[in-house]
Amino acid sequence: MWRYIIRRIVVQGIPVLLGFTFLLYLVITIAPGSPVTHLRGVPNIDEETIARREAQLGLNDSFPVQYLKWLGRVLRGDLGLSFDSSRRPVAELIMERMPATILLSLSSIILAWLIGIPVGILSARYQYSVLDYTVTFLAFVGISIPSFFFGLLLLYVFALRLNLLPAGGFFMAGEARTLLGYVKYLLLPGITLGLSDIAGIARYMRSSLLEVKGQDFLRTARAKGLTENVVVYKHALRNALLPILTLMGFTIPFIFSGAVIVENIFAWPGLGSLAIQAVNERNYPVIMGINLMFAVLIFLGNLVADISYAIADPRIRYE
Amino acid sequence: MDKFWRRFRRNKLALTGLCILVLFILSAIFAPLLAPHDPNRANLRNRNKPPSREHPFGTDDMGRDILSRLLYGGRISLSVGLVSVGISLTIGLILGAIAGYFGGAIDTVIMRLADIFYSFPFLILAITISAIFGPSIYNTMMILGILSWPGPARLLRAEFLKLKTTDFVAAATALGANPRRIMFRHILPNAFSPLLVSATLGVASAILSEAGLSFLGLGVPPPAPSWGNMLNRARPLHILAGMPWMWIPPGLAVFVVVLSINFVGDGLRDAFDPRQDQTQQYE
Repeated sequence: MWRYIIRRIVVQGIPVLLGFTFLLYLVITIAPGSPVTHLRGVPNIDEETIARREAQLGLNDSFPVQYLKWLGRVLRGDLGLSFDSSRRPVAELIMERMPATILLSLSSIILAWLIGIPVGILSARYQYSVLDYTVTFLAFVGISIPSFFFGLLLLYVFALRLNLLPAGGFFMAGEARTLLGYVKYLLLPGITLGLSDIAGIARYMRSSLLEVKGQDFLRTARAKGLTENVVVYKHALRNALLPILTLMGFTIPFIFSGAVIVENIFAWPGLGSLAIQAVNERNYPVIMGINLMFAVLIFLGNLVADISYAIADPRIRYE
Repeated sequence: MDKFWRRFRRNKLALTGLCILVLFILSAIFAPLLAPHDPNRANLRNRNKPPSREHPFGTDDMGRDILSRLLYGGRISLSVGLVSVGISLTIGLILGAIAGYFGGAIDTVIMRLADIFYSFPFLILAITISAIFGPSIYNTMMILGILSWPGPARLLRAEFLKLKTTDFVAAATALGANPRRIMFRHILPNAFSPLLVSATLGVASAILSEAGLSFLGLGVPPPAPSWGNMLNRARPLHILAGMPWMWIPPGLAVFVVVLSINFVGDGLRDAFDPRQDQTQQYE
C-alpha cells in the first residue's frame, strides 16, 4: 500500500507538478513588459540604476537559472510580494482566501456525490422507465447549462425575487457563524458549482451499474432466486461503485475551474475571485501563486482519489 | 452509412438537437439579413428598453438592439467553438498519432505533457494566458485550442495502439509504406468515428468555455457581441433584477446550443457504436 502511494507521488505527481511550474514560469516570462519596465521614463532614474535593479532582481540570469532560483524560493514558502500598493506577501494573501475556496469546493463535491450516486442508481435500477428518461434528460441539461447562467438564474429567483437567500457574499463583519448561516451562504454557490458534477456522476453511475448488471455473476445471483433488489443493491452496486472513485480525481480540476466563475458571481471571498482581481490588475506574482496553489490542491486531491481507489480495489495496489 | 443514419434517426433527442443546431447555424450565417438593426449602433436615447415591436428583445444599456447582437453573437460563439476545436484536433491528432504509433520514450514524454495540461484547472490557466496576451477573439480561439489538445491526443493514441497491431497495417508495412502514410492514410480513417464524436462534444465545451471567459471579461472583448460578454454587461444587480431581457436570451442561447450539440454528440456515439445493439438485446 505505502509502496503504491509513494510510487504515485514520485513517478506521477512530482514530474507533473514540476512540469507545470516550468510551463507556467515560461508563460509568465514571455509576458510583455518586465518588472523594471515601469522605471523607464521616470525622470530621476537613469539607465545605470535600471541595470542595477535588473541585476538585483536576477533578470540577467539565463532562463533555467531564473526558474531554479524561483523554484527554490517557492519551496521555502516565499511566493514574492503582491504588485499592488499593499506589497503584501503573496503567500499570506493566498492563505487568507484558501479556506473559503476549499469550503465551497468540498461542499459542492459532497453535494454532487450525495445526489448524483442515488439518482444514478435509481435510474439504472429502473432502466427505460419514465424516471430513467427524466434523469437522463436532466443530466444533459445539467452538463450543458453554463454555470454563470445557472448561477445568475438562482440569484435572480431566490435572492432578488423571493428574497429567501443572500445575493452572495460570505458572513458580514460581526455576523455570528452559525450552522444555519453557513447553509444560507453556501446553498446557491454550492448548487451552482455542483450541478454539472451531479449530472456527470449520475450519468456515470447509471452506465457503470448497467454494465455490471449484464455480467455473469449477476445472472448466477438471479438464477439462485434472489430478488432484483438484492441483486442490484447488494451484488451489483459494490462493483459498480469502483469505477466511480476514479471519477473523483478527474472532477477536481473542473470543480476549481468552476469555482472561478461561481465565486465571481456570488462575491465569494476565495481564490477564484482573487484570481480574477489579480488578472485584471496584471498582478503576476499573485497570479503565479494562485496557479501554483491550485496545482498543489489538485495534486493532493488526486492523491486522495488514488488512495481511496487502492483501498477499495486491492488489485490496483499490486499492479 | 444508411444504417448509421437509421440508427441516428431513431434517437429523438439527437434528431431534435440536430434540427435546433442547424437553425442556429443558419441564423448565424444569415445574421446580416435577419438582424433588424446594426448590432453595434448605440442609441443613448433608447437605453434599457423592454421588448417592443421595434426591438423584439429590447435594448441594452447603450441602446443597442439585443436581438441583433444575439444573432451576431452566435456567429462569434459558433466560430470560436469550431476554430478552437480545429486547433486542438490538429495538435492532438499529430501528437496522439506519434505517441500511439511510435510508443517508447516519445510516447512517455507526450503523455506526461498531456497529464500536465489535463490535471490543471482549465479556466485558471486560460484567464492567466488571456491576461498576459490580452483578450481578443483570436487569442480566445488559440487559448481554447491549445489548452484542449490532450483530449483528442489521448483518444487518438488509444486508437493507434489498438489499430497498429491489425493485419491491414501489417500488410501496408510489408508493402513498404512509410510511417507517415501508414499513420494518416491507413490508420487515421479507421479512427474517424470516435474522433468525430469527441470533436462534436469538444465544440460544445469550447462554446461553454468561450462564454465563460467572455463572461469574466477575458474572452471576446466588447464592442463585438458574444453571448458571454452580453451576459457580462448584465452583471450589475439592478440590471439582473429589473431587466431580465438583457441576460436571459444570451444565457438561453448558450444553453440551448450546447445542449443540442451534446445531444447530437451522444446520438453520433450511439449510432457509431454497434455494441449498443447487443446490450439492448441483452436487457
